[in-house]
Amino acid sequence: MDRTELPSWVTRAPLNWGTAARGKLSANNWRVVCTIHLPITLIRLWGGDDAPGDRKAMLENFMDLVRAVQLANLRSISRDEIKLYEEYIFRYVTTFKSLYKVAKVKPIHHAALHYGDVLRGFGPAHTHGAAFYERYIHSMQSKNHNMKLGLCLASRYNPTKHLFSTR
Amino acid sequence: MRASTREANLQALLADDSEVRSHVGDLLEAYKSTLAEDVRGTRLAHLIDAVHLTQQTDFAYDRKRLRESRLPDAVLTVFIQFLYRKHPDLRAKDSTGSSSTTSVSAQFLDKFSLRGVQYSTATCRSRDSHLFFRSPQHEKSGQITHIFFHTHVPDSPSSSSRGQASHPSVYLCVQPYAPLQHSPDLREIDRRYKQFGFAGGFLCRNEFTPPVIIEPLDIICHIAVTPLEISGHEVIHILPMDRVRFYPN
Repeated sequence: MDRTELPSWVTRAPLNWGTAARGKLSANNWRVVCTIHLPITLIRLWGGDDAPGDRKAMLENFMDLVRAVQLANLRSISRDEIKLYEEYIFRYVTTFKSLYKVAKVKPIHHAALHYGDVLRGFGPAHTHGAAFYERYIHSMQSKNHNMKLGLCLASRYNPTKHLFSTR
Repeated sequence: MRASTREANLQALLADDSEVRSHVGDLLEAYKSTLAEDVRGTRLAHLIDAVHLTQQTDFAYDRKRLRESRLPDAVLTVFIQFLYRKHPDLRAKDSTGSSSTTSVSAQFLDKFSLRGVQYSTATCRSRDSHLFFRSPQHEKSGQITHIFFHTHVPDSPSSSSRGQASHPSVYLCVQPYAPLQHSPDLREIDRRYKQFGFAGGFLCRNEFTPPVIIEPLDIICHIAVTPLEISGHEVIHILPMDRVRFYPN
């Protein structure tokens, strides 16, 4: 991961991801880890004909997800690419169920199956994505507050502070 | 909310009041460039109309950073060959004279922005210098070494037909990565990556082939570059990046 040179618009994922010290990763961190770093390593290890069958199946399953995510994140997308997205995500979810017997199918899997319709109706992800608002919410969550909505007691120049009563 | 209101009021004030504009003339240019900032992944890029961002083909650069210099010999040689291919009349013209009519001077640039994505030379910002591009033979990956404006190019109907009217004379000198050697081990690993298409990437030798000249319209996307050592061979893994449309073979 450390040796991979990424364009400046791609935020680096923390090198110690997956450890208790690092804690939770952001959605963008997960996307970078899963679409850039893991394919480089996993394909090399599990992509050969000599790899154990279950590992190969897990890799195929994972790469279906990666391809679906890549397509869903294109800045411009055609109807053919949306169809391709649906094929990958459907194959990912169905294979996921057979590969990981204990794992549960979550609402996010269901939502992902319908995302092709969203792309068809509203266009590429960034046109209706909420990345900006997510960042704004993150900024607001870092402010000290007493969980009570009310008057602003802080600087009138910071709009985020108007939403909370600060200590 | 108040910050947004102040921002909107300021824009109206600057648009309507010439007296205010005359007082803040120096700041206005910087303010406008910040307001129109279009760098992929920034907050502003998400705030500005996203559909507009996708459809625009803007080529943006800082004029103040242009510097006049002589094209290095290695670049000049490939540039002349490039111009000969693009403008066959130029070859005929040069063959009649004793030397090339192509000027050896150009205006150099370290970075530019194309459709909101920044590209730069290897010496300026290495992270933004790796790219995937179209070449006459097939798509290739490489690293930008020089970006320059060359103004002594004859007009050609073919250039306008390719939509180059907006930025007709910007050229990039790119060093393509060398294709893999005929090592069975490397070929096998490369096959593993290629079976997953755009999501898996591919391998190249960690060496460059002779430079080539391309135009901004030939750029496909940025790439992530990872140096690897496989069976004693120094190779690099190339992964075309998302968000920018990638055309698989």
